[in-house]
Amino acid sequence: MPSSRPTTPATPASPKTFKIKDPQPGVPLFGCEHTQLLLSAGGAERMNKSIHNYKTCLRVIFENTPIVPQTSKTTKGFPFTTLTPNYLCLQCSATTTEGGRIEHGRETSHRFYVESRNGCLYCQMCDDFVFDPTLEDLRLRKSGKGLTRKRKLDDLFTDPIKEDPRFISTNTVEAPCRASGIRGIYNMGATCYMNVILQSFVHNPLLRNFYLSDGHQRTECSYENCMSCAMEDMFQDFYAQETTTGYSASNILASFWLSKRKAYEELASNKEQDAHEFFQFLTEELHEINGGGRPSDSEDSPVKKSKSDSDPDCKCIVHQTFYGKLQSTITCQSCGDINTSIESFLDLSLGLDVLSKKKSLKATALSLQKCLDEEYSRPERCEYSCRKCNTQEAKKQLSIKSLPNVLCIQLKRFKQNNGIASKIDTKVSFPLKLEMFPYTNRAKNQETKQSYELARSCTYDLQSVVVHVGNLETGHYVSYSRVGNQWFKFNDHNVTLATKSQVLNEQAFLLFYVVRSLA
Amino acid sequence: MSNSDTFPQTGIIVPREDSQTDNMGDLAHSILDDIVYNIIHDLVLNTHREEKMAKSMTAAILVEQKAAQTAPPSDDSNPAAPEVQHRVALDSAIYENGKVYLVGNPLQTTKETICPKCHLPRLLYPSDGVGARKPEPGVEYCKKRPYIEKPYHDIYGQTFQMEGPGRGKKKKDMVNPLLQSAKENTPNGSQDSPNPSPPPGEVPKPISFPHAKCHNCSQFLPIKRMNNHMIKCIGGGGRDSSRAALLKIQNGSGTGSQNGNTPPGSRTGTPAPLSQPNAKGKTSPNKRDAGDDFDSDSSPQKKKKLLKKSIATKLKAPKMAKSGSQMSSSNLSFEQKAPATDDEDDDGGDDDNDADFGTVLVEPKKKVIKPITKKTKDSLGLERKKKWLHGKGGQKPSLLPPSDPPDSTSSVKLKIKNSSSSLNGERTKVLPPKSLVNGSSKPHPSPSINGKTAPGVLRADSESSQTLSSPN
Repeated sequence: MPSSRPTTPATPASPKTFKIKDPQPGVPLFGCEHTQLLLSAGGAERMNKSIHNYKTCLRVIFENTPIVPQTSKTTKGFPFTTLTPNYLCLQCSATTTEGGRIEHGRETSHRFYVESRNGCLYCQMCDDFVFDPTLEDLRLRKSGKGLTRKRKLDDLFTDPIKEDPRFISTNTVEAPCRASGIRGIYNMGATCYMNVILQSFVHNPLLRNFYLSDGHQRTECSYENCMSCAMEDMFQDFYAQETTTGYSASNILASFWLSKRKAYEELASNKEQDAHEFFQFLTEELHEINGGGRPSDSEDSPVKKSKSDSDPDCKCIVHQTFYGKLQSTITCQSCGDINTSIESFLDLSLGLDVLSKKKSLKATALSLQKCLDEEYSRPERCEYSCRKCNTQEAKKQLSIKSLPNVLCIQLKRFKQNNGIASKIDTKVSFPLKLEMFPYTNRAKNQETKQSYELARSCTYDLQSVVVHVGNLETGHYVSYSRVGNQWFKFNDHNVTLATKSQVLNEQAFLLFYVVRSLA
Repeated sequence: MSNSDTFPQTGIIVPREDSQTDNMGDLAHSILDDIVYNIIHDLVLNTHREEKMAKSMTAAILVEQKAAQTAPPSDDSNPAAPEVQHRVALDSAIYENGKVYLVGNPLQTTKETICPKCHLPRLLYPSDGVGARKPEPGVEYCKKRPYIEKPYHDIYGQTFQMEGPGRGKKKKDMVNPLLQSAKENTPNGSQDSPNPSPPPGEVPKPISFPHAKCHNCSQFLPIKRMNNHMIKCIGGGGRDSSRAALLKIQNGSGTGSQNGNTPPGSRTGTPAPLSQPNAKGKTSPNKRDAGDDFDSDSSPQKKKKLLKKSIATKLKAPKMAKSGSQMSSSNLSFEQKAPATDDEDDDGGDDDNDADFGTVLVEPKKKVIKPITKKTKDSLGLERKKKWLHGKGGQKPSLLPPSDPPDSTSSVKLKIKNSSSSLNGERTKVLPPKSLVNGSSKPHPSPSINGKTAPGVLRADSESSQTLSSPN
C-alpha cells in the first residue's frame, strides 16, 4: 500500500521516538502478553517501529477514502474490495481479508493486524481484539479528534498549573460512584419547560465540564441572584451527590424570576411556557454573566436579539458551546453581483409549516436531513434589489460558516393560520448521528483529500431531545438524554430507561447534537 | 486463498432456495448482508471493548491489591537499595515493581468486574425489574448499579406512582397499579430497594415532594408551590401577571359563590349537593362532586385506619411515654406535619385556585362531624384517658386509643383527611403518644389548644418533622 502512505513530511526523515504510556494504577501496561513482547522485548527500535506502523495504519483508515483499507490483493494480484472489515498487517504493508489473515500469518509469521473499520488492534495469538493503553490512546485521538485541535475546550479554559496531577488530586474531590448525573427535576408548578432545558444543560458535556471545573467562581461572583451560581449549584448537586431523588431547582427559578429581563418578562409566570424561549433566555443570561458585563436594559425582542448577536468573538461558555455562524450569499441573477453577510446563530430553526409545503418535500416523509438540505444547501429565490443593476431577480444561498460544538436545532411546530395558532404534528425523523458537512460553505468548493477529515470533524451525535406533548394551549414537556450509550427519559422528577427507537420515534421539538470530536 | 477471491459468506440473511434472483438481486442481497454484518460487527466490537477493558482493569486491581498486602516491609528502612524485586503473580496478571502485565485473556481469566474507583465489585444485574437477579447476600457492591427497568418505577427502583387523590379524581386513578402488580407477583424482597422488605400488601412509598427554600424570602415551601409562590413573593410587572391577576379575580368570584354554598350542602347530607350544583352549571360543580364523593368515601376508611393503627401502636405507646422529653419534641413536630401534608395534597390535585378552596371545603365538613363524635365519646374518652395515663397501660387501653385520636387531634386530623392513606398510616402511628403527653401536662386536652399550637410552630419545624417521621 505505498500509495496510501501519507505525504506529510513528519515520518521517515525524522523518526519520532514514541513512548509507552506510563504505568497507571489499576491499568495493565499492555493489552496482552503478546503486545507486551512486541513493544518491550525488542528494544526501543522495535517499539518505535511498531507504534509508527500503527499510526500509519490509522492514517490510512481515517484520513482517506475507505476504499483503500477495504481493498486487499487476491493471490492472483487483483484488487479486491469488500464492505466487511479487512485487516491491515501491523508489521508489513499488506492488507488481508478476514479469511486471509491466518494465511498471511503462516507465510510471514506476522501476528498483529489493524481492523479496517475502527482501527482496533487484533492479536492473532490471542485470537481476539486487544486494547493496549498506548495504542488505544492513539486510536481514540485519531478517530475522534482528527485535526480539530482548536475545538479542544481544554485549551481555552485551563492554565498549565491546573493540569498538574498533584494539583488536581489535592484540590478536587472524587465523585462518588453512585453520582451519575442522572436525576429528575421536580416540577414546581408548570415548570416542565424549564426542566427539559435544564436537563439538556446538565447532560451537555461542555457546560458540565465548565461548571465542574470551577468555570464560574462563586466566590468572585458579584452578581446578586446570579443565574450562573445557581447553575453551578445544580451541576454540583447532580454530579457530586449520591441522591437519587429529584432536584429542586428553586434557586434557578428564583434567579429566573429575579432577573427581570425585559424581553422575557412574560416568561416568568405560573403559566406554561415555551421551552425554546427559556433556552434563549438562559443562554443570554449566562452569556452576560460569564462573558463579562451586563449591558443596560437595551434589548429588544428575543428573536432580534438572538439573530443579531453583536458579540461574535465572545469567549464565554455559551458562545463556545452553542454559537455558530451562518453565511448568506445573495447572487444577482442578471449581473452576478454577490453580496455576502455573516451572522451568528444560537440554534438552527426549521419552520415546519413552510418546509412541509415545499414541493420537493411534500410527497415523502420529512427527515431532518431533508429539511436542512432545503434550508442550507439549496439556493432559493428571494426578493432583493441589486445595488448595481436594480434587477429584482436574485438567488439566496444560506450555508453554515462555522459550526458550534453543541448544535441546537429547533423544529418549529407552531404555525399561525389566519391569526389562529396551531401545532404541527408532522413527524420529522432525525438521526442519532448527523453529518453537517454538506451544509457548510466548504462543502461546495472543496473536493480534496482533506474533506474526509473535515467531514469527520463535522459529525454530530444526538445528545438530548426535547419533546412537547399535547396541544398549543396546554401540554407537557419531556426530554431524553444520552449518558454513554444509554438513553434516559426525563419526565420532571421521574427518570426511566429509554430505548433508541423510543427516542427516535418521538415528535421532537428541540434537538441537541454534540460534535463527535468532543465526546 | 482461492476462497477469499469470492465474497466471504457472512451469512445473516438467507434468501429462500426457490426464490428467483437475477444479478442485481444477488448484488443487492450481498450488499445488504455485508451492511448488516458491519453493523453487528461494530456493535459487538464496542461492547467487547468495554467489557474487556473493564476486565483487564479488574485483573490489574486485583494483582495490585495482592501486591499491596505482600509488599516487602523493608521499603522505608533501606532506601539505599530500592532494587528489591517485588513480584506478585496471579492467574490473570503479574505485578512487578509497580507495573502490571496481563496474563492470558482477561475475559477468560477474570470473573468479576471491580469498580476502578472504589475497588468494590460491580453488581452486574439489576436487582429489580427486567432481567433482575438476586444479588449475593453479604457482598458489598459498588454503588454504581445497573439501572432498573420496571413499570411505575424509576431507574433507581423508586416508585413515582402517586396513589389516590394526587393523580386525579376518576375511579381508575384511585386504583393503584402498584398494589395490583404486587398482588400478581410476590414482592421480590431485595435489599436494594429503597424500603427494605416491604410487608406484603403494603406499597412502597412514592417519591415524596420535598420542601425547598425560597431564594427570595427564605421561606420553606412545598416544591410544587414554588412557581406560584414566586408570583406573590417576587411578582412581575409584566402583562402576563396582570392578566393572571384579572383572571384570578374573575375566577375567584365564581368559585367563591360556590364555596359559600358548600357548607350547607354538606351539612344537610350527601343528596343535597348533588341537586344544587346541577342547577348551577356543569363545569366546576363536576369537580366538586367528585371531591365530595371522595371525601365521603374515604372518611370512613380513614377512621378505620386510624383505629387499626392506634390499636397496633397501643403497645408502643406506654414505652415511649417514659421518655418524656423526647416525646414532647416529637409531638410538636407531628403537629406541624399535618398542615404540611395538607399543602402537598392540595397541589397534587390542581395547582390553582381549586386546591386552596379544597381545604376550605373540607374543614367545615369535618367540624360538623366532630362534635357528634365528641359528644358521644368525649366524656367517656377523657375519663378513660386519665385512667390510662395514671395506670400506664393497664388492661383497659384496648378501648382507649380509638377514642383518643379524634378528641385531641381533631384539628390535625381534619387536615390530613385529604392526604393519601399510606402517608396517613405512618403519621397516625405517632398520634397516641401525643395525646398522652398533652394529657399529662394538661389534664384536659382540648382541640382548641392543639389548633393553636399547630400553626405557630408549623413553619420553623417543617423540615425536622420530615426527618422525624421516617424512623417510625
